[in-house]
Amino acid sequence: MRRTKLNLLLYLISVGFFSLLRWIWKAKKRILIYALSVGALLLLWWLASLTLPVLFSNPLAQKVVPGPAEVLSVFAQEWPRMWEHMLNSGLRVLWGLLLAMAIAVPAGLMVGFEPLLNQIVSPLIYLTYPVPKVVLLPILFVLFNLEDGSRIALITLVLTFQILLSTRDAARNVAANHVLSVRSAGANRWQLYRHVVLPASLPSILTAARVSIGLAFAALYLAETFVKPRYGIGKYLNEAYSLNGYTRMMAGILAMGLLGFIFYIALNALERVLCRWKFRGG
Amino acid sequence: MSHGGGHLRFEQVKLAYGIGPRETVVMESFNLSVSAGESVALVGPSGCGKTSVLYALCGLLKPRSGSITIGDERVEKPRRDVALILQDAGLLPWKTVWANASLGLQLAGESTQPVRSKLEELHIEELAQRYPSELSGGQRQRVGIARALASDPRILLMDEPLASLDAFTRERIQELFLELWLKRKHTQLLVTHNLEEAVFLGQRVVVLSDKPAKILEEIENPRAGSPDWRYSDGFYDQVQVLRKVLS
Repeated sequence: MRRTKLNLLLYLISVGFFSLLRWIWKAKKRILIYALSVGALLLLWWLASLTLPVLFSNPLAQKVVPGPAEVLSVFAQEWPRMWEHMLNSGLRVLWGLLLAMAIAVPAGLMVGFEPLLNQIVSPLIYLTYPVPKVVLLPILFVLFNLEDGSRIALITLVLTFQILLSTRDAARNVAANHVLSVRSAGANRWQLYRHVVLPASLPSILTAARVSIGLAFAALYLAETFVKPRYGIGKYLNEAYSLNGYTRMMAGILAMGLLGFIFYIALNALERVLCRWKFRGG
Repeated sequence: MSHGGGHLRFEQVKLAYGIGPRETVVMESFNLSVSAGESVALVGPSGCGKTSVLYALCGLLKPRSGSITIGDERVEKPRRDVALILQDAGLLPWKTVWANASLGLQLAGESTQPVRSKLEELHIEELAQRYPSELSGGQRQRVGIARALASDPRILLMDEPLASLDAFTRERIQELFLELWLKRKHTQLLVTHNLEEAVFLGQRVVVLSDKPAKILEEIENPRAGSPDWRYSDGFYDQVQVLRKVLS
């Protein structure tokens, strides 16, 4: 009996050990690929910093694209303040994204899945979609008293339309066979949304969220530039630019890129959890 | 487990899609009666309305006129005692085998406990945590069957359930359908384009005409229901009879 327990324990330990090794190996591969990408980006950047001053005769061209080493050194020096800018900007984008999802996902699913609603709502979407939401910023500043609410509202507006359209299209294209299969099992409307429409649309929703992150940062930059908050990457960038501090500006751009990268990784991880089925099998 | 089947009847049924000038009549004044525990195969040209018969029985397509009854009750909405198996088993790719098989019970708010025994009965219990994309065609169809049987239906409807399978797997699943029907004695209605499948599984083969569908002929096939029927001398003669009617 004792020997059986010992064998079981040894078996579990070895399974655990090999699973850990496998995980490290898998993660190592992914980390290596990311490291190679970052290396390639730094190389291109370095080459650009060398060639641009040669290509452009403008004396300022010597300064506008500083090399990666210089920028990384400034980024490290500025870190005690930089992280607060990053945190505040990151939170604005996060809130904007969450609010946009909360509005766009249910609305998009219903508009896409209910043909009558689609007929009524789609013209409204097409009319308002092309309007750059940034033009509403002055109104938002009035409504939200120049506070963070206005910046978050702008990001929400920008993202809502992107996610709404993708969600609507995904819901419109839900396989008829899946709907039929669940309806024949006696599903009501709510169950149909829960078991079919939402999970079928989820990959498209997350892709839309990922694609929209770039737009969210563009909106953030503008919102943090119009009326400057105490902390924010947009504010940092704008100050650096007004002082001709191109190295600081590049450090700010690097910080914004890093934030975008964090969002991208987080959305990827979320997809791996919520759409596990996509990553299994052939 | 033996299961008392349900008697189903179509009386003067008109099935159609669309309204007004866009109305497409699939069948008009359609009559069909299937006794409790009988296994009937429906064959006919593509688009003649075979599948619509199944949808109407499921309560997914309301007849424009006439009545469809199961026992003494009119079919008006999906019922727990009627299960439908679709061509690719209708599995949801985002649900595991277990979640797919227990979906009907979960939707009805019932215990999913019977699913375990169904998965065991179909020898797929070890696949419970896999997703449909990790299964072969035959395994997927077995999950579809497990889902259909989980709620112990009186009537099993099958819409080209084996169309996407290779010949070998198709025969194995046909034998499984037969085994389950012999054991449970549910009423079975099979829509198929495969004449051999119709002759192997249907005690009666109903041949439909082109749209609007009418019954061209009903071929009695009393030897269906025996696993050896496929290998008997008369099997291919019966297939030939059916082929002649359809041509």
